[in-house]
Amino acid sequence: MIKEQVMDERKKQKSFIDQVKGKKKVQKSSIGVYKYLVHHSFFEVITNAYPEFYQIIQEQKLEIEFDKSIFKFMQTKAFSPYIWKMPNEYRKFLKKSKYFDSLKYLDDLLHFEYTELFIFMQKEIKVKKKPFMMKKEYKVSKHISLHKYNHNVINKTFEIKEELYLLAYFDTKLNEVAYRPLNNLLFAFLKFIDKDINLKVNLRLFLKKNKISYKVYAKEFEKVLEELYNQKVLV
Amino acid sequence: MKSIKGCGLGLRTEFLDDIHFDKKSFAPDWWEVTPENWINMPIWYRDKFEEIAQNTPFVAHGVSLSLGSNKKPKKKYLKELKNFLDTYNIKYYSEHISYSSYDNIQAHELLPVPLTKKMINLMSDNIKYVEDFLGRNISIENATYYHAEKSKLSESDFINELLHKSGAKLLLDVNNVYVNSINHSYNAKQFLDSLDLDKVSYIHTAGHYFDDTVQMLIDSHGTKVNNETWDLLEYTLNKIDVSPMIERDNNIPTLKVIEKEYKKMKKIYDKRASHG
Repeated sequence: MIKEQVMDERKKQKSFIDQVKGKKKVQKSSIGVYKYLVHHSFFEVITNAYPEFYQIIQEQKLEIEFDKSIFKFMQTKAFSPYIWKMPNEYRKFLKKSKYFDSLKYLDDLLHFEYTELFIFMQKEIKVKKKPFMMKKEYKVSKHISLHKYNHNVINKTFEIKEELYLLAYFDTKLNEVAYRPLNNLLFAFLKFIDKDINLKVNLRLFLKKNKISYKVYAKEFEKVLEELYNQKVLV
Repeated sequence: MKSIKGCGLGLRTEFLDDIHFDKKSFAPDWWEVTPENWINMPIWYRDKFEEIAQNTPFVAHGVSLSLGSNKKPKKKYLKELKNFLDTYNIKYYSEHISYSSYDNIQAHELLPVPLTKKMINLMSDNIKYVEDFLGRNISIENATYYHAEKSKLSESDFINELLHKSGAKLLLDVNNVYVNSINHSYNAKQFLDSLDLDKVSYIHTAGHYFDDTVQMLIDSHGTKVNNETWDLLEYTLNKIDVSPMIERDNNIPTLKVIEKEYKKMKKIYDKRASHG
């Protein structure tokens, strides 16, 4: 009985929401009001989060494709109750879709634009400040962004392919998001770190795996890792 | 809500810099906060938010639980919500008589539920589930709706029966009553009279505007409170002793501007109290 009741309501709601989200043709103007309101809300959040992307949409007259992508996204991939997470869900949706095929750098641009918001929204890390020691276990903070881009998103040279290993974190002294390009080795090491093993052993294993001399490079790594610890990138 | 006295305002980030705690500065008797906006808040708002929480009582008003949904709210979100309510010692939590997600896909808009007995059962189950999880009796708000399916149940019968079956309190939005009364051609005061007002926990007021394109009043929360809504507030406060508040979500003015509206509301509230 209960299952029957739910199914009946489901049909009504499904039909309504399909019209609101553009999956089915709107049958009444009163439903059209909701279609407008829902689309407007998604449009506002996405364009506010991605101003450079939206500028490109306008410059290249891609508004129709943009609208289509928003409707498709609304129908399928908007899961989070937090509206600030919606732009990132949209980015992931676009990455797996065929929209904006001509914009090869699109995911890089969207990822970069969203990173600032992502870092601002992270909970404050309250770490007991102890001296940095290579013999201790550390992990890479969840509150930072460590991402390999295929274009130089800082210089905005989107026409040329260029690998960029970028660390972004909140700089508590400057009170803003800081961006730090890394060399590929340091980037790979930060991805490699096993939080259950002390940093020194982690470094030994990593360098050995990459056939790099520990003696030659250890000091250099230690210096940078201490900096990252002070910036709460390593916690 | 009986333990919270006076009048409230919706806390918005735009107000934060103007909120101070000396005796000369304006502060409402309590703030209403939307957990979805504050559970993850930008770094630069945190200290001020904590300071406000320590100085003024909070009530919480959610927008994404989607109580009229075919799926129960996700536990992960409910855990975050409970943690937020516990952290800031918030006893009173409210949501809407609507749904905003379907098959767990968000619409980020309050959508109208079919006014049926089956929906009452569905929503009651969801409300009880949420109450058990949060350890709190919740309130549910009468929402605006621009589209109405034909139904055997009237809106007020639906709300009354839902309150009765679920045990929830009613967050009465008098602006929504006014907007719906114009859009769907009924008498707002008669509608209020038909509600079980004993179950009202507190009252929302807000602004609306007439949209030429759709030829309807739109509940925008983006303008000052209209005279018709003030009138309905006064009418309601002459019947029940509960706290009112102003919601403003769009075109947010300075706190100074909202303060004027707040004082107008306070005057109506005090006048009622002095009669009481």
